[in-house]
Amino acid sequence: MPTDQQKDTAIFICQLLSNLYQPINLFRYDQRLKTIYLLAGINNGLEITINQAGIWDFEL
Amino acid sequence: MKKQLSDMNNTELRQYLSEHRHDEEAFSQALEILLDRKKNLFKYPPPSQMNYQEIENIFKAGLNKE
Repeated sequence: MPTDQQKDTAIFICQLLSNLYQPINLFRYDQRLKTIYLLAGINNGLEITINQAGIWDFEL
Repeated sequence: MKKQLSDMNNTELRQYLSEHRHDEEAFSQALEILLDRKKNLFKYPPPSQMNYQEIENIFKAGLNKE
């Protein structure tokens, strides 16, 4: 299961993407790597990862 | 012959992840490779510790470049 911090960050990111009218194309929690992975934006131009501490990163 | 995950570039890996979203094992292996390549990963603090506007501006700037 994702941690509470991870969930908070995930909600924040989803809301941010929605505010910017960006589609979320892929949303996955990887059980083994304990990481949330998102592909968003037109043409999957945004890649977002969230670790267990709720610390996150994105790549364009 | 099918391309090995380690031979794929990041764009190909993104595509692979998208196509294997229902295959937990394949997805996890590909994600591990992608995460290993990112040197400066996890640099943004949890939302409670940061300025929303600042982050939104970073996203906007990136999206405008596309």
